[in-house]
Amino acid sequence: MKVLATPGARVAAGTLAAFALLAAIAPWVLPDPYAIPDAIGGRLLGPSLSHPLGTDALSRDLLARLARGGAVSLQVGLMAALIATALGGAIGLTAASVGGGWDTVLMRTTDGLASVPRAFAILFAAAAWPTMPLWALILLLGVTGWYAVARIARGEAVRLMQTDALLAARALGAGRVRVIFRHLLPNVAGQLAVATALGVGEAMLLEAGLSFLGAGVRPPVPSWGSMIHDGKDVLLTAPWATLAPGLALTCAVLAANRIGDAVRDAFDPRTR
Amino acid sequence: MSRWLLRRAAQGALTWGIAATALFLLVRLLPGDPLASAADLPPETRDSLARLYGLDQPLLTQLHHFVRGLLHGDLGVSILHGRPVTELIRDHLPPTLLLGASVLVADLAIALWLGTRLAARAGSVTDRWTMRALLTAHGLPPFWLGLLLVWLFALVWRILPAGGITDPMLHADTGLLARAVDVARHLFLPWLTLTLTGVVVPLRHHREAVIEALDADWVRSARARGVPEGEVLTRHASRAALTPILMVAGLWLPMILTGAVLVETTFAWPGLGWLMAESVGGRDYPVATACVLLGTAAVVFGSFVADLAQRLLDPRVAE
Amino acid sequence: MLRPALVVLALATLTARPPDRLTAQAPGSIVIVSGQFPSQPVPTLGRGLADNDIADLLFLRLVRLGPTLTTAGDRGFVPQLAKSWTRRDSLTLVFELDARAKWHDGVPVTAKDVAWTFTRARDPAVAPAHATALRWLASVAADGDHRVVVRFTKAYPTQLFDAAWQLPVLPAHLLDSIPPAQLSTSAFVKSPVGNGPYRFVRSVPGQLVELVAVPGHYLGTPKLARVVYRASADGDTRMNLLLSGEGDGLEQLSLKSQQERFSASPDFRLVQVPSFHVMYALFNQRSPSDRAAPHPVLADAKVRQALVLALDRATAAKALYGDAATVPVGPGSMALWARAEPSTTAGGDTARAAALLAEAGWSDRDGDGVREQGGRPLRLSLIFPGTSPARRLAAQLIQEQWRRVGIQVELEPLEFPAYIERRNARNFDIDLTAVNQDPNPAGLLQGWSCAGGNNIVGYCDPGVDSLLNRAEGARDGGRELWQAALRRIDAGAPAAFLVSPANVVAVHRRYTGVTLRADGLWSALAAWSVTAGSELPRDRTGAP
Repeated sequence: MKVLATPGARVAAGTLAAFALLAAIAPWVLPDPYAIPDAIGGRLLGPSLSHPLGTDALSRDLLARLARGGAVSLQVGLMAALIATALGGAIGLTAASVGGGWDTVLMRTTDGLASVPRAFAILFAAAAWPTMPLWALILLLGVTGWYAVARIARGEAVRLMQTDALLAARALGAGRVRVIFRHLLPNVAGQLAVATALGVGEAMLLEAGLSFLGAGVRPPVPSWGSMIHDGKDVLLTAPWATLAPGLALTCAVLAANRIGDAVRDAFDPRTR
Repeated sequence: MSRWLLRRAAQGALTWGIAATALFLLVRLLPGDPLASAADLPPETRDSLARLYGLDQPLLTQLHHFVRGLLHGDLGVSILHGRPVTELIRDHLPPTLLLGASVLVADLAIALWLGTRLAARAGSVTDRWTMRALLTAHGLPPFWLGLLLVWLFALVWRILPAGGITDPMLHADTGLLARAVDVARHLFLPWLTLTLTGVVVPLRHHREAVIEALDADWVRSARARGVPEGEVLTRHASRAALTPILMVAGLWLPMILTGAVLVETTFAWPGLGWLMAESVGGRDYPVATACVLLGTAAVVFGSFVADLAQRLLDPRVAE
Repeated sequence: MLRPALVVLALATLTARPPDRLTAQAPGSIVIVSGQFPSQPVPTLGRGLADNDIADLLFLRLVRLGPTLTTAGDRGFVPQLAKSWTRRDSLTLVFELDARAKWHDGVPVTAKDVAWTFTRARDPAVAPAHATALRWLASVAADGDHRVVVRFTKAYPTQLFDAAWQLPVLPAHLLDSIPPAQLSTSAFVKSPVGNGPYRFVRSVPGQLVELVAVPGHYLGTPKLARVVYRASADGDTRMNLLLSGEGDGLEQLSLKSQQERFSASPDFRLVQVPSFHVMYALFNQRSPSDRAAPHPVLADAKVRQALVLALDRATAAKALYGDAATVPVGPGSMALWARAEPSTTAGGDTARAAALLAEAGWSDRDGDGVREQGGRPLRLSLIFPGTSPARRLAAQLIQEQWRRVGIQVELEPLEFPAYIERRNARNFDIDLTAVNQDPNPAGLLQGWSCAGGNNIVGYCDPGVDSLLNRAEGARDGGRELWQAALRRIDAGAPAAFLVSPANVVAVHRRYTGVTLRADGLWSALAAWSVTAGSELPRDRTGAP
């Protein structure tokens, strides 16, 4: 696969795969991330054989929580990015293929919605619905992230609409849906893939930031963001509680961004 | 041109107006009692407080009052602080502007200077490793990086303060230079956090644009004519690369505002982001409304500037 | 050559501290860091902790509490503005004021000030909180310049406490001309004039308040010349301010993780002060959706008792607070003089809890780890303010302990206004709440009697009511009655009374004579001093 041509991309893909694998095998191999075995004597233990990353302030195993938090982060990141791309792609392509007044309306609405900074919108929604379940959080992140994708998709689609192939297809009477799926989508797919990959990192950081502020994933479900928040109280005495989730988050975001670059390079017309 | 300006400005104003109205209503629809801090007071006092802040009136009436006040420059009184909102904004806007401006200047300066240099050495070891380092910095969560920097500089090495914008213990007659140094010491860590995590975005754009420009025919011809490499870089390549930079600069405001909320909270930097987090969390309606409206206005303005820059530099670009 | 030099210069400038002024003698200063800003540090107006802290230093009460913190009877109090007192009869107390007391503008403190203060405070429109506490005061009259005669409408044991401790005295000569409604926006609030050992210097809104010692004060010239009260909303920042050398004192560090940050530092020591704080998980006995109907799960006393017994509260207290907390019996905080000790069920009894649940009809028939009855799982929601680190930890701990006996509890951390709204609407199953009690046990009536104003979950036990009422009127203070009431509340399990943590205060080691009081933490600052030879630059800086 061309995407995995460079060693950097391979390392990135491997990193994400490692996190996914860790999350998958954790229930069998690692302790329960919610169990509190010894809240008095077992708190904030350093890394050891039985607790490779040590324990947190409530004596829960940090590696198990890291794995579970990774599952949450990856899930949120991937699905939110997919929703954002799907929405943005749909709106952008529809606007381009329909054209005229609808195009203007859709794009102006996009601009209007985009004028609310994403962080504001997310903080607001979190305040409006304090007990948001995970699926709602994913939906929220997806629904606030499609604006740029829509603009890019529409821009590319508008350009494509002027090409000979498309003019011919429409002259032959191809319906709008057919135009979108057979002609526009395959050509825009590259851009959409890039947007998805880059969106994963962004969504993961946003979810972590939200959990860091106390709003995102609810306790006791671990999230890398809330683990950083809990760990900052003991940064002086037990630094691994904050360093581990922070490093994990950084690695995952970097890996996602690296894959996004690799996808972009793979679809770049100059390197084809 | 002026027609386009007017039309685009009107569009921006309309967008802002709609967003502002929606946000005004949304703020007041959030669950939570704005008088929660007065929970221990008897009902009569709370009722009079509710009347004082207009909380007992229907939403549209509150909107009407607000717009009337806005036209007179009166944004109301903060429920949590008891001070006029305009005063609070006036106190909290400069720190965010200071932080944002210093980060913007640093990011652009580094992006332009370093981006050009790296473009000239594209593919070299220096280039590859510098880009890797910068991309890694970009992947760091800003709130986490901030924590680590405070830990290192303020708690372990004790050479920089832990938070805030000034040392409130300074004497009343401390000189201007000493005050400036004091603010600079407080600004350094939040500035470093935002700059490090953000610089790669404009830098990457600029670097790629310069690489492309260096490849262009007319640059090759300049080289063939014997123009020195330095001059080629600065005069020919960089000028062509200005457009992406200006576009990014215009879209900078939303990024600053987003980063600001988390960073300002981490460093207790008393700016608008911090104020917004406090007022939304505390349901301080007048302040939250003002902050949110300001933030939206900043974004709308920023995208207007980006569009304007694009149009000025490349009139061929269609709407 | 130039560039590296510039870089070095820039770094040097950045890391250099601004110069501090060294002047002649003005020994000692303290920077107290707090979570709130004292915007109204005036008695009857101030409501928050910060307001009370500053008001305690600026304004004196007639007496302060003695070492046992007793509020009943006429003895056990320490003179402040009142140098002595006598009881004329069961309804009358007479106080003799110390003639040396003066306001900061030089005017002597007279009985007229006391009478005026109480008249103002009894008006519910002016000071609603105090009006309730002072409802049995019939009259407060000045008899000459230094004698105050207080008459009550009925005989009850905490007369002296109400008359002499509840209310610091305000200056009549400065405030008489200001209508009560305008007091909060008056110039007096921006620059209060008091009679305490410290006087007000300046206030930077939202950031700090500065006080300076009053030389020749009749209670003794304070040895600490300068008090700065610094506000910072974020808990982490507050601790960092101390650890980076910008602060000297910080309270509410009860959590073990907070204590550990300071016990590792050579500059600070930790002092435990008994506090009136209690944290408990309150069970809603009425249905959240329909207040007239009983709660489908929690109305059953057996279920509530099982919930309490399922918890190992002693372990929870130790895990969260180390040795700085006790397990209360009923809502009796560790500083309440009428508390009952010790708790017999603090260790929990999971076997008994399981038995009680089974008796009440809840068992796990489908093996998913959660008990159910009639198809309905034993699932409850627990609300708490998400910003409180103590409650965040406690919530996760008790959730896990309940999970082990088959009770599924969902945590709902809320922003503070949303939390208050849910509480007021009684829209919750369990409320993880915390209170700072009144030193006077009569405050228990508000929360735990059938008609109590703060009794939001409808807990009603006529036996408790009778004990509480009898205790309130008992001549000897009613210690046994209060204790019996607390035990009975504990047994009825309207809540799981989790912990009563001490107030752990980090104080810089350079101070000697450190006294921290439960009834006004920093009110004894005048007795502190800086050990010679360990002064910091800001200790030597003179007052502006």
